Amino acid sequence: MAENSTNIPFYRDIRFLKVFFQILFVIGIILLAGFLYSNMLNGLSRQGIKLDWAFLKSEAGFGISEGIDYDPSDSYLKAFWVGVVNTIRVSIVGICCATIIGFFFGIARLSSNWLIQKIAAIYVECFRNIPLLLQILFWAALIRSLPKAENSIVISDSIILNVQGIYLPSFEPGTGFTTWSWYLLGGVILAIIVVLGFAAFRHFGRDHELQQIDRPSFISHIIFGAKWTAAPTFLIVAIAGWFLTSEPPFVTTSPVLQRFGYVGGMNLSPEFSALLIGLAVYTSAFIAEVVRSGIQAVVKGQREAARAVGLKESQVLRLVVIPQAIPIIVPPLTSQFLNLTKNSSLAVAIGYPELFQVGETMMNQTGQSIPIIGMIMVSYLIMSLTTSVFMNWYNHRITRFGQSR
Amino acid sequence: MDNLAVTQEVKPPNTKKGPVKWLKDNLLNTWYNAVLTCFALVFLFLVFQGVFTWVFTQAKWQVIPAYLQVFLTGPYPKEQIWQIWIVLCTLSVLLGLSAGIWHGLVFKLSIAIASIGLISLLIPLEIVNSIASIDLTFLFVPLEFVNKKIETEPGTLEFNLNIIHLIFFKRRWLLGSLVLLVVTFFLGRNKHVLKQWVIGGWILSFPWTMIMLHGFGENTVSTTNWGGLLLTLILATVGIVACFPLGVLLALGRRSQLPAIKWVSTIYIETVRGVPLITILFIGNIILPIFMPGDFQLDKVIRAMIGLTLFSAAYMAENVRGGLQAVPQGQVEAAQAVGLTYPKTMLFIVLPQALRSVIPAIVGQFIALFKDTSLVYIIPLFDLLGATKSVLGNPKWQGLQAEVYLFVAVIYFAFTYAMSSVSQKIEADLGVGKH
Amino acid sequence: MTENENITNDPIIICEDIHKWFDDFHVLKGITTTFKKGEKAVICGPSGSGKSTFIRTINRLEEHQRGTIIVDGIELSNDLRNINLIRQEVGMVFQQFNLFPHLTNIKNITLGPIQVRKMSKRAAEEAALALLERMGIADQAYKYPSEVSGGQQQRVAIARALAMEPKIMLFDEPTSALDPEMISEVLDVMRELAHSGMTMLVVTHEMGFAREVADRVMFFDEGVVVEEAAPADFFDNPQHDRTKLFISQTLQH
Repeated sequence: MAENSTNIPFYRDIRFLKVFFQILFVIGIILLAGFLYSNMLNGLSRQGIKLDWAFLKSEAGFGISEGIDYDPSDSYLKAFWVGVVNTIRVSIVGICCATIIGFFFGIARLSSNWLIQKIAAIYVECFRNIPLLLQILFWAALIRSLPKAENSIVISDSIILNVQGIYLPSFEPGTGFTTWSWYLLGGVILAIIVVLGFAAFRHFGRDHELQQIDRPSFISHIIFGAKWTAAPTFLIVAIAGWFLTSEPPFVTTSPVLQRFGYVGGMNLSPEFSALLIGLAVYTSAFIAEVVRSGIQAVVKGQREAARAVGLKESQVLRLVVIPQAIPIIVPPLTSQFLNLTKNSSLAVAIGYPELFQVGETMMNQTGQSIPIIGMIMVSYLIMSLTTSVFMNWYNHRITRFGQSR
Repeated sequence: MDNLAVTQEVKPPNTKKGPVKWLKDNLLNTWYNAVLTCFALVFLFLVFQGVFTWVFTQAKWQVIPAYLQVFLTGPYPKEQIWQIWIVLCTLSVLLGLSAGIWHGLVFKLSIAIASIGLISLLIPLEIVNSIASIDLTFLFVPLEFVNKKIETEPGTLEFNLNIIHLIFFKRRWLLGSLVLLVVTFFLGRNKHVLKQWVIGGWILSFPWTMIMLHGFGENTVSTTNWGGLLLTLILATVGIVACFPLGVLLALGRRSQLPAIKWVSTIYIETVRGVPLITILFIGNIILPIFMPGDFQLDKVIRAMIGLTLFSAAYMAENVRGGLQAVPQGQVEAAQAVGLTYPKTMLFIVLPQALRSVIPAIVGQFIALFKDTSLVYIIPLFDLLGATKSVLGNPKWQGLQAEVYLFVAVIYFAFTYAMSSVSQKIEADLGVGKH
Repeated sequence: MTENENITNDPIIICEDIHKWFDDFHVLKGITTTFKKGEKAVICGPSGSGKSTFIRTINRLEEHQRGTIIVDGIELSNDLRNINLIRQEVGMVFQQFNLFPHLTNIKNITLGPIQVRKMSKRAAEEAALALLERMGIADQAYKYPSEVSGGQQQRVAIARALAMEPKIMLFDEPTSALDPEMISEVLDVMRELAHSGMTMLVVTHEMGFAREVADRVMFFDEGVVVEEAAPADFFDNPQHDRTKLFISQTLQH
């Protein structure tokens, strides 16, 4: 006879078993955590360390060679923050450089010129098959072996290489900058007015019947208008403002050789330079591969179809290949950006004071390794999360407007 | 049949191009390509000129043979090097048998390895060394004997005798491994009955390697004395092998229908993937000892292995998850319809298919891990990269960073490049035969 | 139409008021029916009518959310033991064959008997070879599924289901994924199986097969059984408009 569903023994009931296994699993995790926690308390007491966060407020007492305003008498928390900012700084600059170099070599790998193609291939294979840490150590050693300030290598009078790092001319706001920024603000306001007017004209002023089937939205008029009316308006105002401002809005300062080395301009410290070059070169090799495979994924078939329609080669690239390749490229590109950010922690080997290096110094001084490692991990997780949220948003946006599928 | 034969004889039009045509097509097809070609040539000339001048006239390569053993095995004691050779001989036997049984890729791989072995057998490193007149204490064999006469009269009978002496005596282990490789290849040819034994052998070779390297009794070599390329290879292999079970469990966990298990797995995977490897290595190195019971201590190499395993498990989990997603739902349903339970469905149906499809990804992860092991330099351990530290720390060799780093880079490059070409071949092979 | 001598009066599957939702979509809206031991039922209907979902609830590939299903005296509920027992008694053949691509044909067949029925490897292989013989593909035993044709794959799949010695066989559109020239070889096997007295529930569009083999044709639409009748009545004298429309559309092809 059939059994009634009400009297299933609990050990055979799927609903019960599902909950039961989860509870068992969670209890297992809690037991493990508890075991580790009690071990940790024992371990810490053996080392004579008390676990608390108070150390963050006490005086750091160690110097940090570069970064935002900081003094050894500041707190540990401030020191950590300097490290975070330095990480962000090297990551952003590194991402920009790596993307530019990477796109360059990625496209070069698809060149119809055999020689260019091979040079790019060799570049990619060399730099992605050698450990990044080794590359960074190499660049650091190379910069350390550069001549002293008196005998600097000077490239076209503005880029200076010596043992103290790389010197570049800097652009800084000049005396006329305030005046000019008012012009810029005016330009922005004018551009908004123009684009709204343009969109309204296009949206309401046209023959409705003609567009009944596929009537573009107001937003799409704004996007179209932003490109063709707002941008030129803004540029005209900005350029006019530049000439109308009597004093120079920007000044260029070149580094000048003085008694103790070069002064002025922008100085990239040896550590920063080595780290930056290493990160940019290494990541660019991966980005080149991402770009190459992204474009190749589209090119097959699509390109021939586009040619059959009668588009020119340059039009094919601009109108067909790139709009479709970008959504393919963005997700792996994002993970390369994240890798670069995480890899900046290798700076600890050459002494650039970023997040991890500062954290390590703090660990050595205070012995509070657990909270500090926790802070380091949380910082990286926040950066990873922010980047991927931003890139997801961006990817979503371009797949909506960039693709008509 | 006759018709067929006739159609086969029709050959395609001759599409072979002469070098001039090739130049025209590939380098000079448009005016801007011609300009680009010129620039590229000038660029290449300058680079090659610089590199060649440096490599052949300025660089001081003597440092490499002088420290070869440090690069290869680190502080591993000279008297125990035979333990490493035993391991290499074992691996040669397994490789030779596999090449004989499976042909194909394994065969090509063993040809490559054999030729590398043959080249290193024949290169008289001692000559380079004795030109630099440096005391020679590093060779592959635990033998202090140095024949200084090599430098004086190369080309004479004596020199030839020395070569023979070198190969058959001082490098007898290397020679032995090579001979074993070749002999076992012929022994294993087409012996398909041996298949399961060889697979078993490969599985056992892993603990066997660990035991042999560590030794026992008076031959014990503590892991702190493992170093150089040896340590790099071991760390990468342990990282990929040990992370495998954990990675598979995490992948299954992340796809589980039970929320608690799913969330714990997801949080682990995403946390580890979100932070740099160096933090995980620090956790292994500094924090793990705090979490261990009082009297229980792990040495540094083991802690690094744990760190690498925890790290690569998260990446392995994501690779395996990709493979799991590729297995159609119908496979699970068919297994359920036959009456298989969840564990058996996973074990017999889903995982075999999923893992087969992620082999290339796992090889890719191994390559990445091989490079990433260099981070133990920071802890510090004396792996291949760490070995540079002890070399450059010697005041005698100051200022030779470029030579040392380039040499190490070449080794890393050779391994990763070889592995990635192998993985491309595997990918192609998997694409052809589906099962 | 042939009157089936194997059919008995013992009910083997009893379904009472079965409901099933996919999120908000009500797929099955109260199915009540009984299948007798040895009965061959053909289930037809437009796509999305719930016919596949219905037979998939009978071996718990889909969970029904309301109502009772009793298979061979065992109630299908949240009881893990009952689910496993029923799955051993109910064989299933899928539209896409769902053979295990990493196993040879014979291993596909012996996996269930060895792992679930705990048969010895040898006995299972002998039984499997006998089944393949019966399916007419004994020579394909040691090939992989990807190396044989679609029709042969589906016959291996039928053998795999039969290897568990089920009392009931479910067929979920077994010929829909096949090339036309291979359909008949699969239908022949199913016909032979029908004559052997197996209880069969077949979801199919093969109306010729239904007319010839079925004891009963059920017509599903929008989650309910619109009409059920013996094939002669069903095809020649349909009662409902929807059935008429469906039959006329199907026979046009």
